[in-house]
Amino acid sequence: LRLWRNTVQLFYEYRSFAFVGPFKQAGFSDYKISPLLLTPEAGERTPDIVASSVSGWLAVELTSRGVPKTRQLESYTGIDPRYLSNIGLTVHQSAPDVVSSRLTFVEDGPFCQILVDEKLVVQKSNLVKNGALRQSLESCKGTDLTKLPSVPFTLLPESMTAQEVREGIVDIVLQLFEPNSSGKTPLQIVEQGLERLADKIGQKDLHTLVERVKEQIGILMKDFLPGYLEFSDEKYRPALKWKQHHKTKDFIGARLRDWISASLTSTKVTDEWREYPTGPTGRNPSR
Amino acid sequence: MPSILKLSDIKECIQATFEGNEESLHAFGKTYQTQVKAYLVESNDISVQRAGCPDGEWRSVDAPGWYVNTGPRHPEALFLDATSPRVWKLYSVLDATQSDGLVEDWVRKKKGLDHCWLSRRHMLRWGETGNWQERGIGIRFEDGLAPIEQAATFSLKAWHSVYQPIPGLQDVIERAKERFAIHSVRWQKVTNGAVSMSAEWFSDGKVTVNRGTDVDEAMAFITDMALRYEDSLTRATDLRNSKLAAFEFEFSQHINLESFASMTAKGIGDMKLWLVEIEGYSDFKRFKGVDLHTWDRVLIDIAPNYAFLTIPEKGCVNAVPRLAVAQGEDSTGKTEILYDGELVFA
Repeated sequence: LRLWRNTVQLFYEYRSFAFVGPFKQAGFSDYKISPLLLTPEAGERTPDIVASSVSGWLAVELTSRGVPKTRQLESYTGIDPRYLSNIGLTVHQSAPDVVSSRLTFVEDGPFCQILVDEKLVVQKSNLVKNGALRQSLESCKGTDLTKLPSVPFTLLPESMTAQEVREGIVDIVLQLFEPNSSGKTPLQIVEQGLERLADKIGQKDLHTLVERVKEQIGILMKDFLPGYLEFSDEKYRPALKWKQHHKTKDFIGARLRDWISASLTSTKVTDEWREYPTGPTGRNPSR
Repeated sequence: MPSILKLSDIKECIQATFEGNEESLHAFGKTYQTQVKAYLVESNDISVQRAGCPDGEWRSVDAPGWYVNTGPRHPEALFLDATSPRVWKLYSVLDATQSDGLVEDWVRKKKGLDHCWLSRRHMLRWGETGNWQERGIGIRFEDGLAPIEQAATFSLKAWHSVYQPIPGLQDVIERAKERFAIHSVRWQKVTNGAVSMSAEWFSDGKVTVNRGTDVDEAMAFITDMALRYEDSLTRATDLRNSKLAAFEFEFSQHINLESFASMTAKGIGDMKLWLVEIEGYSDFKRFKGVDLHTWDRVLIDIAPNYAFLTIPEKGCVNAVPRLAVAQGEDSTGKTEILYDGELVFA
């Protein structure tokens, strides 16, 4: 989520701390998330972000996985740019500039790479053809990204740690306590967390995410909010101990904070194991 | 036997209140009847039937979207214009002490209803038109997040005219306006050299018509603000739906983040937010939670002098002006709202 937040916000400007993202500076004010574009041979390509300005267009791939994305990035150079009209972006005749965005460095071949963990790191900017973009990326090197605002989706269609899942659904869990709440199914919770990414995720990833959410809420019900939250008729609902009172809200909030912070230590090993069930090479990255 | 059956009956009732006050003003120099009030209510597109009525039930009149209340306490004293699905206008001929309580109770208890939180640009907009003159201002700062013994509260309400009875008063007002939130503004309309209307707008969407001569003129004045507010909501919703930026708030006063966290953890206060802190530093905190107005989700990232608000899915964007106005009067002072560097709710 930090990867998405710190990449997406590079398209925006925030006056409070004089931040103007390099993509915005270079005129890329319009972009789409995971659009379907085709090559001349009808090969399907879905870069995570596609943006267009008057001077060119851009495909950005976001990944937190420790394997090179060279082939995937190369495949974006073959996208037929006329398909930009289908997604409402300015059409160009040329191939896009392709950028990979990561939190830590992994060699991604002959493409510009931005690292957006805390301070913006730009590597291989000389490979960016668009002069305005090259210049703005260079000028923003070292920008502090830690205080950029959240983005609306709080779950992602890729592997997430227990802490990320808990943080990603904590506000949706609060919604369960709405007066006369009809409850939510695990799938509804996942779809809410994915927000506008919900229709961009495959069934396998969706199922994995639903299971992750069930597991984490199970821990919440059992160890942190016993008697306040229950699972019945396939839905999570408030249980008998819940009352619409500010002290109860304060208590629930405190327990939810405990639930999130507990995931930092107690489930770390489990997470690593889950993320690499057959070792890093045995995985089949979906994105 | 109901006496108000038509829209024209509602207008006659309001006009009679205006005229009664005009007569007593000319005869005694004071107004003795209650002053007409209106409240802008953000309905979040719920139906009038579901919203219920502050006093009794709503009975429709001959014009679609118009209703009168049935009582029992104050029958035919409240008139609802719900012709716009999003922003309703509730007219009242009750005394302020009765009327304010009824409306506040109604809005607070009914899920989906909220006040229309007017930004300073909304409240000052008549300064751009030729016929209107600003005749006073109310400024409020409660310093609500500071410990009581250290709270630096500020309150100023100044009625003024072209003539300045205290040298330097205008300078004080201007400086206060730049530091604190505007709670109310009084406007006066001059037609053919005479005052045809005088009204005070409050930041929670209430307007008191202190003097009026023409009910249609008063309704047009109130409708103008309602439409402006509705346009702002529509614009904010479009931005939220089409982009991934956050609404940005710039505060003129620094706030105590620990106090903010403590208040929102309980879900209390005018902000109607119930939040869980998920990331915290001494100068920056991230929260996730719900807007108790609609129980929609909200994500808030906040520093002592600015904040970001992200509203996922189809959440109601009325939380944006509410945070600016309620939090502005409580603790953040003059608060600007921006989206991708541009002013919104302006």
